[in-house]
Amino acid sequence: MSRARRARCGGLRARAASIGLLMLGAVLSCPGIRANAETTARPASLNFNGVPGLLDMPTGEAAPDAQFSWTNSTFARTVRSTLSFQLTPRVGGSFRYTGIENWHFQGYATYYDRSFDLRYRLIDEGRYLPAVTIGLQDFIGTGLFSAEYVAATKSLTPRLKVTAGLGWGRLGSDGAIGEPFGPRPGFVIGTGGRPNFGQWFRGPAAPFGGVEWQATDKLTFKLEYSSDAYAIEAGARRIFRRESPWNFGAEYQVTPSLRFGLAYLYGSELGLNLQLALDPKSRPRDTAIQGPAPAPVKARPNRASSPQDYATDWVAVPQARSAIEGVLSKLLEADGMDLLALTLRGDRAEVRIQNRLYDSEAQAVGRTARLLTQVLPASVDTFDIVPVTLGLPISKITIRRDALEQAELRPDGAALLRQSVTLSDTGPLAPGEYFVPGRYPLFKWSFLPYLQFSFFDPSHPVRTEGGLRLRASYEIRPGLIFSGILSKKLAGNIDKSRTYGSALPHVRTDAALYAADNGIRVDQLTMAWLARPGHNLYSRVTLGYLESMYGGVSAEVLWKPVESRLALGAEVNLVRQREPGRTFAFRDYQVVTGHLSAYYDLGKGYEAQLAVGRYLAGDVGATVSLDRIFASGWRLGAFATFTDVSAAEFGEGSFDKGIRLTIPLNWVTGQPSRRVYGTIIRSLTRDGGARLIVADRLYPMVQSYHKSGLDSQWGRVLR
Amino acid sequence: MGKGIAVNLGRSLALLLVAIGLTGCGSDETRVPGFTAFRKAIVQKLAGPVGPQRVPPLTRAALEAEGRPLLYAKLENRDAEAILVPLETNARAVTWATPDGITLSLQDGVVIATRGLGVDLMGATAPSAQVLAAAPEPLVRTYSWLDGADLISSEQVTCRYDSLGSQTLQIVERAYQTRHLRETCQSDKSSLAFQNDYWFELSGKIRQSRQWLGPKAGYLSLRHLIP
Repeated sequence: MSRARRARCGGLRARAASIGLLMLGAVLSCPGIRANAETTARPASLNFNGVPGLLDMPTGEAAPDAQFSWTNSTFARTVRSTLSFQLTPRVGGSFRYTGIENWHFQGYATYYDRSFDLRYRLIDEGRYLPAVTIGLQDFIGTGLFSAEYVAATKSLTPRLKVTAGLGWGRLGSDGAIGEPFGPRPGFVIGTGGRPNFGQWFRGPAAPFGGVEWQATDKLTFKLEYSSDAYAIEAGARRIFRRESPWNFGAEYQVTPSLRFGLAYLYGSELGLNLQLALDPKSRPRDTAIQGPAPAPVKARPNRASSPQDYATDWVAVPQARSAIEGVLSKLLEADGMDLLALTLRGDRAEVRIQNRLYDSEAQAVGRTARLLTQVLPASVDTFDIVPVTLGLPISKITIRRDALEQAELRPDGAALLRQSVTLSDTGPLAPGEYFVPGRYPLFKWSFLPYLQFSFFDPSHPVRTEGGLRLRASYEIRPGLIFSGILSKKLAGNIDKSRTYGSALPHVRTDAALYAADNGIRVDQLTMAWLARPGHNLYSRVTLGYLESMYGGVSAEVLWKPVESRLALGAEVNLVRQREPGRTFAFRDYQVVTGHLSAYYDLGKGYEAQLAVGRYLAGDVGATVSLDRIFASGWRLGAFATFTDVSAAEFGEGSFDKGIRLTIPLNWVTGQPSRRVYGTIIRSLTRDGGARLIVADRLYPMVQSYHKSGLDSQWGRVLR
Repeated sequence: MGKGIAVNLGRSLALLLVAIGLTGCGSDETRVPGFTAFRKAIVQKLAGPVGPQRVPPLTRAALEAEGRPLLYAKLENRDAEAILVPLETNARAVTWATPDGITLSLQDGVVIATRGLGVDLMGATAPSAQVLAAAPEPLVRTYSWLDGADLISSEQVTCRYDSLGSQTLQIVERAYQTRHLRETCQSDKSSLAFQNDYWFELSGKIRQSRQWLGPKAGYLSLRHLIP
C-alpha cells in the first residue's frame, strides 16, 4: 500500500465522444421525475458519496429502479463527483472521481482518484423488516476509499427513517467492535484495476447509523454517527480536523430531480451536496411524445353492400400507380418520411420508406400504415412496410388493413394490432420494380456546432473542445454512399491533456496531438457500400479516412433473423494510422484488426454483447458488454476488454473498461427526433484493447427495425 | 477540482454556442430538426408558457357560411379553445381536427381518443349515446393513455349515471332544449375519479358536453355548433 502508488494512480484521463453540454443545461432547467405513486416511503436520497445514504454513511435503501444520478459534493477541501445507476431494482453501481486539495505528496498538490462501488439490496423493506443492503465501496483501484458494509433502514413513520449498519475498511476505522472475519490483509495495487477480493469484510468492523426526518415535502434533516476515522486525511495529510463522529445536515428538494444539501461534518467542516437524479424510463415531468396527430385511418365501405369498391381492375390502369405514388410521396414527406418505392397488387401493397423523424420505429410504421389507408383502393387488404436505412431494406412489417381499422381507437389497440402484425426478412426490390423517380441520388448535409469532452486528466478533470462541424453525404444509389465530416476547432483545451508513455504502439494515447490541430480537420471521408448479400444477411464495406486517427478499409457482415434474439457479426479492417496535424497523411503504423461478435437480447431491456478478435495495437482478446435499453431511447451500458497485453504493458488501469450512455434528444424536448447524444466514459484511455471507430456499423441500424427494436416502443404505433 | 473546470473556457464556449450554436443549418433532418426542436424548446422555456389560444367571437351566419360540421372545444387545463372540423369516420367514431394538428375522436359524441395532445387518450370504451341517454345502471369503461415512458397505461373505471333534469342551452344565437346527464366514474384499483357531463337533445344527440381526457390533459368542453 505505498503512498507513491496511490498518487500515481491519480493520473487519470479519459477521452469522451461528443455529448451535448446543452442537453445537460436543458435537463437542469426542466427537471422532474415521476414520483413513485405506489409506495408511501420516499425514494432514497443520496449521500456525499452519491449513493443512497445519509450524509457520509450509506443506508440500506436502493435508489428507484433505473435511476441515473450525478452527485457533486464538497467538504474538507475534498470534491467528490459520482455517477450512479440503479442497474436492476436490487443492484446499484457507482463511478466516483475524488479530488483532495492540499495533499502535497509525491508532487501532487491535489490528489485525484477514481473508484467504483457495487451494492445489492438483500431484503426489501416490509411491514416489520428493514431494507438491507450489502455494499462494496472502491472495490477496484487504489483502495484509499475501500470499504464494505451491511446497512439496514426502516421507515418508522412515513417521515422518519432510521439506519443502522456495520462497516469494514474505511467504514470500520473508528469505533471498531472487533474483527469478526479476521484481520484485513494488505493489498498490492500494482497498476490498479483489480478487485480487492481478499480484503472484503476483513479487519476491524465498526457500527454506524443515523436518522432521516422529512420535515416538510421539500425539507429533510439528517443526523448520523460516522464510523470513518479519516485516518489519512485528518492524520498525516492534515487536511482537516476530525473532532467528532457526529454529522448534521439539511437537504432541500428543489425540483423532483434536483436536491441540494448542507451539512456540518465531523465537528469542524461545512459541506455542500448537489444531487441530480434522472429517470431514464420516463421523460422529465412525464411529458408524453409531442408532435401533430397522425392521419386518421380511412375506413373502407362495407364489402357486402358495395362490392364494386373492392374491384382490383384499377391495378391495370397505368395512371393509378403514378397518382397513388405522387400523393403518398407528398403525404409521407410531410410526416417526416420518404417514399422510396411502391409495389402495388390488387390486394397487397409494399412500400419502402426512409424514416427521417421518428425515434420510435413503431410510430413511423404506424403512421405510414395510416397514410396507406388514405391513398390505397379498398381492395388492398395487406400492407407490407419495408423501412430502409442507408439503402438497406431492414425488415418487412406486414399489417392487415382490417386489423388497423379495428385497433385505431381501442384502448388495447396497440396490443391488438401487434397480434396481427408479422415481421419477416426482405431483400432488394423485385425485378421490374423501381425506385420513386428523383429519389436518388440523395444529398444531405448539416452545419452545426459540436462540443467534446475529455475526462479525468490529473490537472483538469474535465477538458472540453468546441467548434463547428460540417457533415455531408451523397447516396449515389441505394446503399452506395459518399460522405465526409469536416470540423474546425474554435476553442478548447483537450490538446493540453497529459500524454502518457506507453509500451504499446500509440494507437489511442496520442489524442492530444490530434486535438492540437487548429486547422480544418477531416474527421471522416469515406465511400461506403451497404448491401443485403443473402437471406438474413447484411454487409458493409467502407473505404477511406474512417475516423480522426485511422484510414483504410473496413468490411463487415451481420447475420440477424428478424425475430431472433441472437445476431452474429464479423468485421475485418486493414487500417493505417493518420498523421496528426497533416490532413491526408499517414504514419507508418499499419494493422489488421477485426472481431467476431455475438449480440444477444436478454429480454426486459437488457442486451449482451461479446466480441472476440484483434485490437488496434495488434493485441488479441475479447470485449464483453451489457446494456440496459429503455423504451424512452436511453441506453446505459458497461464494457470491459481483456487482451493478451499484460497489466504492466497496459499501464494504469490494467485493462480497458468504461461505461457508455445514450440519451435521445426527444427525452429532453418531447418532440419527435432521431437525434441521440452518446458518450463513452473510460476511467483511462490506453493503447491495449482499443477498437477502430467506423460509421454505420450494422447491428444498431438493423436491430431497431427488428422484433426487439420495434416491440420496445410499440406503444407509439398508433400515435 | 472545482477550479479545475476552467471557468474562462466554459464561458467562451457558452458564448460560442450562443453566437453560432443557434444558427445551425442543413438538409439532414435526422440532425437539424432535432437541433431546431431543441432550440425551440429553449426559446419556449425562455419565453414562458404559451398564451391562451382563443377563438374569435362567433356568429351564426359565419358558422353557416363554412358549409361543414363544426365543433367547438375548450381544454380547461391549457385555457385553449379551437374550432374543429370532421376528418374521417371509422365505424361509429368521427375524428375531428383542430387547425394546429390535434385530433379528437368522438363515438356518438363521447370522446374515445385524442392525438397530438401530449399524454394522449389512446382509446376508450364508451356506451352508445342511446344507452347513455337512458341513464343506465352502472357500466364498466376502460381508458388507456400513452405515458411519458412511451408505454400504454390503462385504467378500468365503473361509472354510474344520474339525470340532472332539463336545461336550455344558448349556443351561438340558438337555443337548445336539453337534458343534463352526469356520468360519475371511479377507478376499480386506484383513487382515480372523474365526472363527465352530457347535455342531450330530445333527438338523442349530445349537443354539449364536458368530458375528462385523463390525469394530464384534464377536462374538455365540447359544443356542437354545426349541425
